[in-house]
Amino acid sequence: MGSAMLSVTQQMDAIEQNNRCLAIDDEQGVLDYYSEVFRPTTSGSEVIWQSLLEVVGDEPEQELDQTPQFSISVALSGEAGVQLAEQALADHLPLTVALIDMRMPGGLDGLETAQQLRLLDPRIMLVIVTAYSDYKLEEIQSRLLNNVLYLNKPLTSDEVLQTVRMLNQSWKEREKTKILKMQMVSHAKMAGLGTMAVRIGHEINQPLSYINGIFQLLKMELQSGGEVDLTQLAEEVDLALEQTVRIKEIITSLRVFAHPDRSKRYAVDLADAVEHVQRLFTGQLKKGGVSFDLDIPEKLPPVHFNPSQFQRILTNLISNALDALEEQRRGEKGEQAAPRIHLAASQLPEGKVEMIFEDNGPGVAEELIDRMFDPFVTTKEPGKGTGLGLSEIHGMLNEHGATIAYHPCSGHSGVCFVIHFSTDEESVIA
Amino acid sequence: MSDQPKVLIVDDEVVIHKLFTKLLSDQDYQLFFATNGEDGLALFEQESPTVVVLDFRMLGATGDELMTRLSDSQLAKTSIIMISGHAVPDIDLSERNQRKLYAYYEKPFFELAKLKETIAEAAQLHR
Repeated sequence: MGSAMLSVTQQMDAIEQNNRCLAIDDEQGVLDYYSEVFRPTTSGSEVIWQSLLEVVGDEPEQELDQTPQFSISVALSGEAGVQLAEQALADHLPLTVALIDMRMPGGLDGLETAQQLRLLDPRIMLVIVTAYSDYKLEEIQSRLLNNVLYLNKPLTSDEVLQTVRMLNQSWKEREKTKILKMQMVSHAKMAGLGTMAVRIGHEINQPLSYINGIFQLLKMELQSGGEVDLTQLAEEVDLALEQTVRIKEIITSLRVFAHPDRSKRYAVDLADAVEHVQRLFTGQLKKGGVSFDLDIPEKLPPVHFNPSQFQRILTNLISNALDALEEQRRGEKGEQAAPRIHLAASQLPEGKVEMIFEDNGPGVAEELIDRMFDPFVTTKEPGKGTGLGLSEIHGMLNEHGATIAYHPCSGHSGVCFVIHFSTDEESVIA
Repeated sequence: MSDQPKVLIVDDEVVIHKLFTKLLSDQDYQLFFATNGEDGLALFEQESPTVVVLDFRMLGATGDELMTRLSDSQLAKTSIIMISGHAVPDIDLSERNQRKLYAYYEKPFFELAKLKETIAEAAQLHR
Protein backbone atom coordinates (compact mmCIF):
# COMPACT_ATOMS: atom_id res chain seq x y z
CA MET A 1 0.00 0.00 0.00
CA GLY A 2 0.97 3.60 -0.50
CA SER A 3 1.42 4.13 3.21
CA ALA A 4 4.74 2.30 2.95
CA MET A 5 6.19 5.37 1.29
CA LEU A 6 5.27 7.62 4.20
CA SER A 7 7.57 8.41 7.08
CA VAL A 8 6.78 6.94 10.47
CA THR A 9 5.60 10.33 11.75
CA GLN A 10 3.33 10.76 8.73
CA GLN A 11 1.91 7.29 9.22
CA MET A 12 1.29 7.96 12.91
CA ASP A 13 -0.43 11.24 12.07
CA ALA A 14 -2.61 9.57 9.47
CA ILE A 15 -3.67 7.00 12.05
CA GLU A 16 -4.30 9.63 14.71
CA GLN A 17 -6.51 11.61 12.34
CA ASN A 18 -8.49 8.65 11.07
CA ASN A 19 -12.03 9.01 12.39
CA ARG A 20 -13.74 7.39 9.43
CA CYS A 21 -16.64 5.06 10.21
CA LEU A 22 -19.21 3.16 8.25
CA ALA A 23 -22.89 2.55 9.05
CA ILE A 24 -24.92 -0.06 7.19
CA ASP A 25 -28.67 -0.39 7.65
CA ASP A 26 -31.51 -1.11 5.25
CA GLU A 27 -33.66 1.55 6.88
CA GLN A 28 -32.99 5.12 5.78
CA GLY A 29 -34.37 6.34 9.12
CA VAL A 30 -31.63 4.53 11.07
CA LEU A 31 -28.93 5.94 8.77
CA ASP A 32 -30.33 9.45 9.28
CA TYR A 33 -30.20 8.82 13.00
CA TYR A 34 -26.51 7.86 12.78
CA SER A 35 -25.74 10.95 10.71
CA GLU A 36 -27.42 13.03 13.37
CA VAL A 37 -25.53 11.35 16.22
CA PHE A 38 -22.20 11.82 14.48
CA ARG A 39 -22.86 15.28 13.07
CA PRO A 40 -19.99 17.56 14.04
CA THR A 41 -20.43 19.08 17.51
CA THR A 42 -24.02 17.92 17.84
CA SER A 43 -23.89 16.68 21.36
CA GLY A 44 -25.10 19.31 23.79
CA SER A 45 -22.22 18.93 26.20
CA GLU A 46 -19.68 19.59 23.43
CA VAL A 47 -21.46 22.75 22.33
CA ILE A 48 -21.44 24.04 25.87
CA TRP A 49 -17.79 23.02 26.33
CA GLN A 50 -16.78 24.80 23.16
CA SER A 51 -18.60 28.02 23.99
CA LEU A 52 -17.10 27.88 27.46
CA LEU A 53 -13.63 27.68 25.93
CA GLU A 54 -14.40 30.61 23.71
CA VAL A 55 -15.43 32.69 26.73
CA VAL A 56 -12.27 31.76 28.61
CA GLY A 57 -10.33 32.52 25.47
CA ASP A 58 -8.30 29.36 25.67
CA GLU A 59 -6.96 27.59 22.63
CA PRO A 60 -9.82 25.25 21.85
CA GLU A 61 -8.06 22.96 19.39
CA GLN A 62 -6.32 20.67 21.85
CA GLU A 63 -9.48 19.94 23.73
CA LEU A 64 -11.42 19.29 20.57
CA ASP A 65 -8.82 16.73 19.48
CA GLN A 66 -9.78 14.51 22.35
CA THR A 67 -13.35 14.15 21.12
CA PRO A 68 -12.80 13.31 17.49
CA GLN A 69 -15.18 14.53 14.83
CA PHE A 70 -16.26 11.35 13.16
CA SER A 71 -16.85 11.26 9.47
CA ILE A 72 -19.44 8.65 8.75
CA SER A 73 -20.26 6.97 5.47
CA VAL A 74 -23.62 5.29 5.18
CA ALA A 75 -24.92 2.41 3.06
CA LEU A 76 -28.40 0.98 2.62
CA SER A 77 -27.24 -2.57 1.98
CA GLY A 78 -24.43 -4.92 2.89
CA GLU A 79 -23.21 -4.93 -0.71
CA ALA A 80 -23.07 -1.13 -0.85
CA GLY A 81 -21.25 -1.06 2.49
CA VAL A 82 -18.59 -3.54 1.29
CA GLN A 83 -18.16 -1.42 -1.82
CA LEU A 84 -17.59 1.71 0.27
CA ALA A 85 -15.01 -0.14 2.34
CA GLU A 86 -13.29 -1.32 -0.84
CA GLN A 87 -13.14 2.22 -2.16
CA ALA A 88 -11.81 3.47 1.16
CA LEU A 89 -8.98 0.94 1.02
CA ALA A 90 -8.19 1.83 -2.58
CA ASP A 91 -7.96 5.49 -1.55
CA HIS A 92 -5.69 4.55 1.39
CA LEU A 93 -8.32 5.96 3.70
CA PRO A 94 -9.25 2.85 5.70
CA LEU A 95 -12.35 2.71 7.89
CA THR A 96 -11.91 2.23 11.59
CA VAL A 97 -15.36 1.14 12.78
CA ALA A 98 -18.40 -0.33 11.01
CA LEU A 99 -21.88 -0.39 12.50
CA ILE A 100 -23.86 -3.13 10.80
CA ASP A 101 -27.51 -3.94 11.06
CA MET A 102 -28.02 -7.67 11.51
CA ARG A 103 -31.30 -8.04 9.68
CA MET A 104 -31.21 -6.86 6.10
CA PRO A 105 -33.54 -8.99 4.01
CA GLY A 106 -32.94 -9.36 0.28
CA GLY A 107 -29.13 -9.20 0.23
CA LEU A 108 -26.19 -9.85 2.48
CA ASP A 109 -27.31 -10.01 6.08
CA GLY A 110 -25.32 -8.38 8.87
CA LEU A 111 -23.16 -11.38 9.61
CA GLU A 112 -22.27 -11.99 5.96
CA THR A 113 -21.50 -8.30 5.50
CA ALA A 114 -19.31 -8.35 8.60
CA GLN A 115 -17.46 -11.39 7.31
CA GLN A 116 -16.80 -9.75 3.97
CA LEU A 117 -15.60 -6.56 5.63
CA ARG A 118 -13.29 -8.51 7.91
CA LEU A 119 -11.89 -10.36 4.92
CA LEU A 120 -11.38 -7.13 3.04
CA ASP A 121 -9.75 -5.30 5.94
CA PRO A 122 -8.83 -7.36 9.00
CA ARG A 123 -8.21 -4.20 11.02
CA ILE A 124 -11.77 -2.93 10.95
CA MET A 125 -13.73 -2.86 14.23
CA LEU A 126 -17.17 -4.38 13.86
CA VAL A 127 -20.37 -3.55 15.69
CA ILE A 128 -23.44 -5.66 15.05
CA VAL A 129 -26.66 -3.80 15.69
CA THR A 130 -29.81 -5.79 16.19
CA ALA A 131 -33.19 -5.89 17.80
CA TYR A 132 -33.33 -9.63 17.56
CA SER A 133 -30.88 -11.96 16.01
CA ASP A 134 -30.95 -14.92 13.69
CA TYR A 135 -27.59 -15.96 15.12
CA LYS A 136 -26.38 -16.72 18.57
CA LEU A 137 -23.57 -14.59 19.98
CA GLU A 138 -21.23 -17.61 20.01
CA GLU A 139 -21.92 -18.26 16.37
CA ILE A 140 -21.18 -14.68 15.41
CA GLN A 141 -17.98 -14.71 17.41
CA SER A 142 -16.81 -17.98 15.95
CA ARG A 143 -17.50 -16.79 12.44
CA LEU A 144 -15.85 -13.41 12.86
CA LEU A 145 -13.00 -14.40 15.16
CA ASN A 146 -13.95 -12.13 18.04
CA ASN A 147 -13.42 -8.39 18.11
CA VAL A 148 -17.10 -7.91 17.51
CA LEU A 149 -19.31 -5.74 19.62
CA TYR A 150 -23.02 -6.01 20.02
CA LEU A 151 -25.50 -3.18 20.31
CA ASN A 152 -29.19 -3.66 20.87
CA LYS A 153 -31.89 -1.62 19.29
CA PRO A 154 -33.38 0.73 20.24
CA LEU A 155 -30.11 2.62 20.39
CA THR A 156 -29.28 5.67 22.47
CA SER A 157 -26.99 8.30 21.03
CA ASP A 158 -24.64 8.14 24.04
CA GLU A 159 -24.32 4.41 23.68
CA VAL A 160 -23.52 4.66 19.98
CA LEU A 161 -21.06 7.53 20.44
CA GLN A 162 -19.24 5.89 23.33
CA THR A 163 -18.94 2.57 21.57
CA VAL A 164 -17.62 4.10 18.37
CA ARG A 165 -15.26 6.40 20.25
CA MET A 166 -13.84 3.51 22.22
CA LEU A 167 -13.42 1.28 19.19
CA ASN A 168 -11.93 4.08 17.12
CA GLN A 169 -9.45 4.73 19.92
CA SER A 170 -8.41 1.08 20.17
CA TRP A 171 -8.11 0.91 16.37
CA LYS A 172 -5.66 3.84 16.54
CA GLU A 173 -3.67 2.35 19.38
CA ARG A 174 -3.40 -1.02 17.71
CA GLU A 175 -2.28 0.49 14.40
CA LYS A 176 0.24 2.76 16.09
CA THR A 177 1.70 -0.15 18.06
CA LYS A 178 2.04 -2.10 14.82
CA ILE A 179 4.02 0.71 13.21
CA LEU A 180 6.27 1.09 16.23
CA LYS A 181 6.95 -2.66 16.26
CA MET A 182 7.77 -2.65 12.57
CA GLN A 183 10.09 0.26 13.12
CA MET A 184 11.85 -1.59 15.93
CA VAL A 185 12.28 -4.68 13.78
CA SER A 186 13.70 -2.68 10.91
CA HIS A 187 16.07 -0.85 13.28
CA ALA A 188 17.29 -4.18 14.62
CA LYS A 189 17.75 -5.45 11.08
CA MET A 190 19.65 -2.35 10.10
CA ALA A 191 21.90 -2.64 13.14
CA GLY A 192 22.68 -6.24 12.22
CA LEU A 193 23.26 -5.19 8.66
CA GLY A 194 25.61 -2.44 9.83
CA THR A 195 27.78 -4.88 11.77
CA MET A 196 27.70 -7.24 8.86
CA ALA A 197 28.67 -4.48 6.43
CA VAL A 198 31.67 -3.49 8.54
CA ARG A 199 32.84 -7.09 8.63
CA ILE A 200 32.33 -7.61 4.91
CA GLY A 201 34.22 -4.40 4.26
CA HIS A 202 37.10 -5.59 6.39
CA GLU A 203 37.19 -9.01 4.76
CA ILE A 204 37.21 -7.61 1.26
CA ASN A 205 39.78 -4.96 2.14
CA GLN A 206 42.39 -7.61 2.88
CA PRO A 207 42.63 -9.23 -0.55
CA LEU A 208 41.99 -5.86 -2.16
CA SER A 209 45.00 -4.45 -0.32
CA TYR A 210 47.25 -7.00 -1.97
CA ILE A 211 45.80 -6.60 -5.45
CA ASN A 212 45.91 -2.83 -5.31
CA GLY A 213 49.33 -2.75 -3.66
CA ILE A 214 51.00 -5.16 -6.04
CA PHE A 215 49.77 -3.18 -9.03
CA GLN A 216 51.09 0.04 -7.53
CA LEU A 217 54.49 -1.57 -7.04
CA LEU A 218 54.52 -3.03 -10.55
CA LYS A 219 53.68 0.37 -11.93
CA MET A 220 56.57 1.90 -10.01
CA GLU A 221 58.87 -0.79 -11.35
CA LEU A 222 57.74 -0.13 -14.91
CA GLN A 223 58.13 3.63 -14.48
CA SER A 224 61.64 3.29 -13.10
CA GLY A 225 62.56 1.38 -16.23
CA GLY A 226 64.20 -1.40 -14.28
CA GLU A 227 64.10 -4.99 -15.33
CA VAL A 228 61.08 -7.00 -14.25
CA ASP A 229 61.77 -10.43 -12.81
CA LEU A 230 59.37 -12.60 -14.78
CA THR A 231 59.32 -15.52 -12.37
CA GLN A 232 58.49 -13.18 -9.55
CA LEU A 233 55.91 -11.41 -11.65
CA ALA A 234 54.18 -14.71 -12.44
CA GLU A 235 54.04 -15.47 -8.72
CA GLU A 236 52.58 -12.07 -7.94
CA VAL A 237 49.95 -12.34 -10.66
CA ASP A 238 48.93 -15.77 -9.35
CA LEU A 239 48.60 -14.40 -5.87
CA ALA A 240 46.59 -11.41 -7.08
CA LEU A 241 44.26 -13.75 -8.96
CA GLU A 242 43.87 -15.87 -5.83
CA GLN A 243 42.81 -12.74 -4.00
CA THR A 244 40.10 -12.03 -6.56
CA VAL A 245 38.79 -15.57 -6.03
CA ARG A 246 38.69 -14.87 -2.32
CA ILE A 247 36.60 -11.76 -2.86
CA LYS A 248 34.32 -13.70 -5.14
CA GLU A 249 33.90 -16.40 -2.48
CA ILE A 250 32.87 -13.82 0.08
CA ILE A 251 30.29 -12.42 -2.31
CA THR A 252 28.96 -15.87 -3.23
CA SER A 253 28.54 -16.79 0.42
CA LEU A 254 26.61 -13.62 1.04
CA ARG A 255 24.09 -14.46 -1.64
CA VAL A 256 22.62 -17.07 0.66
CA PHE A 257 21.63 -14.29 3.03
CA ALA A 258 20.09 -12.19 0.31
CA HIS A 259 17.03 -14.22 -0.77
CA PRO A 260 16.49 -16.68 2.01
CA ASP A 261 12.98 -17.80 1.17
CA ARG A 262 13.18 -18.26 -2.57
CA SER A 263 14.71 -21.70 -2.38
CA LYS A 264 12.59 -24.64 -3.34
CA ARG A 265 12.36 -27.54 -0.98
CA TYR A 266 12.17 -31.18 -1.81
CA ALA A 267 12.37 -34.45 0.00
CA VAL A 268 16.07 -35.13 0.41
CA ASP A 269 17.34 -38.63 1.01
CA LEU A 270 20.10 -38.13 3.52
CA ALA A 271 22.08 -41.25 2.64
CA ASP A 272 22.01 -40.37 -1.07
CA ALA A 273 23.07 -36.80 -0.51
CA VAL A 274 25.89 -37.78 1.83
CA GLU A 275 27.18 -40.35 -0.63
CA HIS A 276 27.11 -37.79 -3.42
CA VAL A 277 29.08 -35.23 -1.43
CA GLN A 278 31.47 -37.85 -0.10
CA ARG A 279 32.42 -38.68 -3.68
CA LEU A 280 33.52 -35.08 -4.21
CA PHE A 281 35.96 -35.47 -1.35
CA THR A 282 37.35 -38.92 -2.22
CA GLY A 283 40.73 -37.53 -3.25
CA GLN A 284 41.17 -35.27 -0.26
CA LEU A 285 40.05 -37.92 2.20
CA LYS A 286 42.54 -40.36 0.75
CA LYS A 287 45.35 -37.83 0.71
CA GLY A 288 44.86 -36.97 4.35
CA GLY A 289 44.37 -40.60 5.34
CA VAL A 290 41.01 -39.63 6.81
CA SER A 291 38.41 -42.33 7.33
CA PHE A 292 34.84 -41.27 6.67
CA ASP A 293 32.49 -43.44 8.69
CA LEU A 294 28.76 -43.48 8.09
CA ASP A 295 25.98 -44.60 10.38
CA ILE A 296 22.76 -44.00 8.48
CA PRO A 297 19.86 -46.41 9.03
CA GLU A 298 18.23 -47.78 5.92
CA LYS A 299 14.69 -46.68 6.55
CA LEU A 300 15.31 -43.06 7.39
CA PRO A 301 12.51 -40.71 6.28
CA PRO A 302 13.64 -38.04 3.80
CA VAL A 303 14.23 -34.57 5.19
CA HIS A 304 12.47 -31.45 3.96
CA PHE A 305 15.25 -29.37 2.48
CA ASN A 306 16.61 -27.67 -0.57
CA PRO A 307 18.94 -30.28 -2.09
CA SER A 308 21.71 -27.96 -3.23
CA GLN A 309 21.73 -26.18 0.10
CA PHE A 310 21.86 -29.53 1.84
CA GLN A 311 24.91 -30.41 -0.22
CA ARG A 312 26.48 -27.10 0.60
CA ILE A 313 26.00 -27.71 4.31
CA LEU A 314 27.69 -31.10 4.04
CA THR A 315 30.46 -29.69 1.87
CA ASN A 316 31.12 -26.92 4.38
CA LEU A 317 31.18 -29.32 7.31
CA ILE A 318 33.48 -31.80 5.58
CA SER A 319 35.91 -29.20 4.29
CA ASN A 320 36.08 -27.59 7.75
CA ALA A 321 36.81 -30.99 9.25
CA LEU A 322 39.47 -31.78 6.65
CA ASP A 323 41.21 -28.45 7.24
CA ALA A 324 41.15 -29.00 11.01
CA LEU A 325 42.49 -32.55 10.68
CA GLU A 326 45.19 -31.38 8.30
CA GLU A 327 46.24 -28.61 10.66
CA GLN A 328 46.39 -31.12 13.50
CA ARG A 329 48.52 -33.47 11.42
CA ARG A 330 51.00 -30.73 10.61
CA GLY A 331 51.04 -29.65 14.24
CA GLU A 332 52.82 -32.99 14.94
CA LYS A 333 52.07 -33.11 18.62
CA GLY A 334 53.44 -36.55 19.38
CA GLU A 335 51.22 -39.52 18.84
CA GLN A 336 47.94 -38.85 17.10
CA ALA A 337 44.74 -40.81 16.72
CA ALA A 338 43.94 -41.77 13.13
CA PRO A 339 42.04 -38.86 11.55
CA ARG A 340 38.36 -39.63 11.32
CA ILE A 341 35.06 -38.06 10.33
CA HIS A 342 31.92 -39.70 11.62
CA LEU A 343 28.43 -38.98 10.37
CA ALA A 344 25.44 -40.61 12.03
CA ALA A 345 21.72 -40.12 11.46
CA SER A 346 18.65 -41.35 13.27
CA GLN A 347 14.93 -40.79 13.32
CA LEU A 348 13.52 -38.85 16.26
CA PRO A 349 9.88 -38.65 17.30
CA GLU A 350 7.80 -35.60 16.23
CA GLY A 351 8.84 -35.78 12.60
CA LYS A 352 12.51 -35.00 13.11
CA VAL A 353 15.71 -36.50 11.81
CA GLU A 354 18.91 -36.07 13.77
CA MET A 355 22.29 -35.91 12.08
CA ILE A 356 25.47 -35.96 14.13
CA PHE A 357 28.69 -34.82 12.51
CA GLU A 358 31.95 -35.41 14.36
CA ASP A 359 35.66 -35.30 13.71
CA ASN A 360 38.64 -35.97 15.95
CA GLY A 361 40.54 -32.83 15.04
CA PRO A 362 41.58 -30.12 17.48
CA GLY A 363 38.01 -28.91 18.07
CA VAL A 364 36.93 -25.33 18.61
CA ALA A 365 38.67 -23.04 21.09
CA GLU A 366 36.59 -22.35 24.18
CA GLU A 367 36.47 -18.60 23.55
CA LEU A 368 35.14 -19.05 20.02
CA ILE A 369 32.26 -21.40 20.86
CA ASP A 370 29.78 -18.61 21.55
CA ARG A 371 30.62 -16.85 18.30
CA MET A 372 31.28 -19.79 16.01
CA PHE A 373 28.11 -19.29 13.99
CA ASP A 374 28.76 -15.57 13.54
CA PRO A 375 30.03 -14.53 10.13
CA PHE A 376 33.78 -14.06 9.65
CA VAL A 377 34.78 -16.04 12.70
CA THR A 378 37.43 -18.52 11.66
CA THR A 379 40.04 -20.73 13.28
CA LYS A 380 41.70 -21.47 9.99
CA GLU A 381 45.12 -20.19 9.12
CA PRO A 382 45.26 -16.59 7.97
CA GLY A 383 44.06 -16.30 4.42
CA LYS A 384 42.53 -19.76 4.35
CA GLY A 385 38.96 -19.45 5.45
CA THR A 386 36.42 -16.73 4.87
CA GLY A 387 34.82 -17.46 8.23
CA LEU A 388 31.48 -17.63 6.51
CA GLY A 389 31.02 -21.41 6.29
CA LEU A 390 29.37 -22.03 9.63
CA SER A 391 27.27 -18.88 9.56
CA GLU A 392 26.11 -19.91 6.12
CA ILE A 393 25.17 -23.35 7.45
CA HIS A 394 23.38 -21.74 10.36
CA GLY A 395 21.46 -19.44 8.02
CA MET A 396 20.39 -22.20 5.65
CA LEU A 397 19.28 -24.51 8.46
CA ASN A 398 17.42 -21.72 10.17
CA GLU A 399 15.53 -20.90 7.07
CA HIS A 400 14.37 -24.52 6.76
CA GLY A 401 13.27 -24.68 10.40
CA ALA A 402 16.19 -26.96 11.20
CA THR A 403 18.59 -26.41 14.08
CA ILE A 404 22.31 -26.89 14.69
CA ALA A 405 24.08 -27.13 18.02
CA TYR A 406 27.72 -27.56 18.90
CA HIS A 407 28.66 -30.05 21.60
CA PRO A 408 32.04 -30.91 22.96
CA CYS A 409 32.83 -34.47 21.95
CA SER A 410 32.61 -37.14 24.54
CA GLY A 411 35.79 -39.14 24.94
CA HIS A 412 37.90 -37.49 22.23
CA SER A 413 38.97 -34.13 20.89
CA GLY A 414 37.26 -32.57 17.88
CA VAL A 415 33.97 -31.03 16.90
CA CYS A 416 30.52 -32.51 17.26
CA PHE A 417 27.58 -30.87 15.54
CA VAL A 418 24.04 -32.05 16.20
CA ILE A 419 21.58 -31.04 13.49
CA HIS A 420 17.84 -31.56 13.66
CA PHE A 421 15.95 -31.61 10.36
CA SER A 422 12.23 -31.74 9.79
CA THR A 423 11.10 -34.79 7.86
CA ASP A 424 9.31 -34.21 4.60
CA GLU A 425 5.69 -34.74 5.59
CA GLU A 426 4.24 -35.28 2.14
CA SER A 427 6.60 -38.07 1.27
CA VAL A 428 6.07 -39.65 4.67
CA ILE A 429 2.35 -39.84 4.02
CA ALA A 430 2.85 -41.09 0.49
CA MET B 1 74.66 -5.79 9.76
CA SER B 2 73.59 -4.48 13.15
CA ASP B 3 73.19 -1.06 11.57
CA GLN B 4 70.20 -2.23 9.59
CA PRO B 5 66.98 -0.92 11.11
CA LYS B 6 64.68 -3.76 12.14
CA VAL B 7 61.13 -3.58 10.84
CA LEU B 8 58.50 -5.89 12.27
CA ILE B 9 55.30 -6.49 10.33
CA VAL B 10 52.40 -7.89 12.39
CA ASP B 11 49.42 -8.80 10.24
CA ASP B 12 47.35 -11.98 10.04
CA GLU B 13 47.34 -11.77 6.25
CA VAL B 14 50.28 -13.52 4.61
CA VAL B 15 49.67 -11.62 1.38
CA ILE B 16 50.20 -8.38 3.28
CA HIS B 17 53.60 -9.73 4.39
CA LYS B 18 54.43 -10.37 0.74
CA LEU B 19 53.34 -6.89 -0.21
CA PHE B 20 55.64 -5.34 2.41
CA THR B 21 58.50 -7.62 1.37
CA LYS B 22 58.22 -6.26 -2.16
CA LEU B 23 57.63 -2.69 -1.04
CA LEU B 24 60.70 -2.66 1.17
CA SER B 25 62.92 -4.88 -0.98
CA ASP B 26 65.16 -2.01 -2.10
CA GLN B 27 65.55 -0.69 1.45
CA ASP B 28 68.22 -1.68 3.86
CA TYR B 29 66.01 -3.17 6.55
CA GLN B 30 65.97 -6.38 8.43
CA LEU B 31 62.38 -7.60 8.14
CA PHE B 32 60.47 -9.73 10.66
CA PHE B 33 56.97 -11.07 10.26
CA ALA B 34 54.27 -12.27 12.64
CA THR B 35 50.75 -13.43 11.81
CA ASN B 36 49.27 -12.85 15.26
CA GLY B 37 49.66 -10.70 18.34
CA GLU B 38 51.37 -13.36 20.44
CA ASP B 39 54.11 -14.02 17.90
CA GLY B 40 54.38 -10.28 17.30
CA LEU B 41 54.98 -9.64 20.99
CA ALA B 42 57.60 -12.40 21.20
CA LEU B 43 59.45 -11.00 18.18
CA PHE B 44 59.19 -7.51 19.60
CA GLU B 45 60.82 -8.57 22.85
CA GLN B 46 63.46 -10.61 21.08
CA GLU B 47 64.43 -8.14 18.37
CA SER B 48 63.51 -4.67 19.71
CA PRO B 49 62.53 -3.45 16.24
CA THR B 50 62.86 0.20 15.26
CA VAL B 51 59.59 0.19 13.36
CA VAL B 52 56.51 -1.97 13.88
CA VAL B 53 53.80 -2.07 11.24
CA LEU B 54 50.85 -3.31 13.22
CA ASP B 55 47.48 -4.47 11.95
CA PHE B 56 44.64 -3.23 14.10
CA ARG B 57 42.27 -6.13 13.68
CA MET B 58 43.65 -9.62 14.05
CA LEU B 59 42.28 -12.88 15.32
CA GLY B 60 42.93 -12.97 19.05
CA ALA B 61 44.50 -9.74 20.24
CA THR B 62 43.88 -6.45 18.41
CA GLY B 63 46.70 -4.06 17.64
CA ASP B 64 45.46 -1.90 20.49
CA GLU B 65 45.70 -4.75 22.98
CA LEU B 66 49.18 -5.56 21.78
CA MET B 67 50.32 -1.98 22.24
CA THR B 68 48.81 -1.90 25.70
CA ARG B 69 51.02 -4.82 26.68
CA LEU B 70 54.16 -2.90 25.73
CA SER B 71 55.73 -0.69 28.39
CA ASP B 72 56.37 3.01 27.84
CA SER B 73 60.12 2.39 27.72
CA GLN B 74 59.61 -0.30 25.09
CA LEU B 75 57.45 2.02 23.04
CA ALA B 76 59.93 4.89 23.41
CA LYS B 77 62.48 3.10 21.25
CA THR B 78 60.03 2.08 18.56
CA SER B 79 57.73 3.77 16.06
CA ILE B 80 54.41 2.05 15.67
CA ILE B 81 52.61 2.41 12.36
CA MET B 82 49.06 1.11 12.69
CA ILE B 83 47.30 -0.26 9.63
CA SER B 84 43.66 -1.21 9.44
CA GLY B 85 41.22 -2.62 6.95
CA HIS B 86 38.34 -1.54 9.09
CA ALA B 87 35.53 -0.26 6.94
CA VAL B 88 34.77 2.50 9.43
CA PRO B 89 37.42 5.17 9.88
CA ASP B 90 37.44 5.36 13.68
CA ILE B 91 39.60 2.60 15.06
CA ASP B 92 39.22 2.15 18.74
CA LEU B 93 42.55 3.08 20.28
CA SER B 94 43.11 4.00 23.90
CA GLU B 95 44.35 7.54 24.47
CA ARG B 96 47.81 6.39 25.53
CA ASN B 97 48.18 4.28 22.42
CA GLN B 98 46.90 7.07 20.24
CA ARG B 99 49.65 9.31 21.56
CA LYS B 100 52.26 6.63 21.04
CA LEU B 101 51.23 6.00 17.46
CA TYR B 102 53.65 7.24 14.80
CA ALA B 103 51.26 6.94 11.88
CA TYR B 104 48.03 5.36 10.84
CA TYR B 105 47.22 3.94 7.40
CA GLU B 106 44.03 2.47 6.06
CA LYS B 107 43.86 -0.60 3.88
CA PRO B 108 43.89 -0.79 0.95
CA PHE B 109 47.01 1.42 0.89
CA PHE B 110 46.27 3.67 -2.02
CA GLU B 111 49.55 5.53 -1.48
CA LEU B 112 52.13 2.84 -0.96
CA ALA B 113 54.98 5.21 -1.88
CA LYS B 114 53.97 7.48 0.97
CA LEU B 115 53.74 4.56 3.38
CA LYS B 116 57.24 3.56 2.34
CA GLU B 117 58.48 7.07 3.09
CA THR B 118 56.77 7.05 6.47
CA ILE B 119 58.52 3.79 7.34
CA ALA B 120 61.84 5.30 6.24
CA GLU B 121 61.30 8.39 8.40
CA ALA B 122 60.30 6.27 11.36
CA ALA B 123 63.39 4.11 10.90
CA GLN B 124 65.60 7.23 10.99
CA LEU B 125 64.01 8.45 14.20
CA HIS B 126 65.56 5.90 16.52
CA ARG B 127 68.97 5.44 14.97
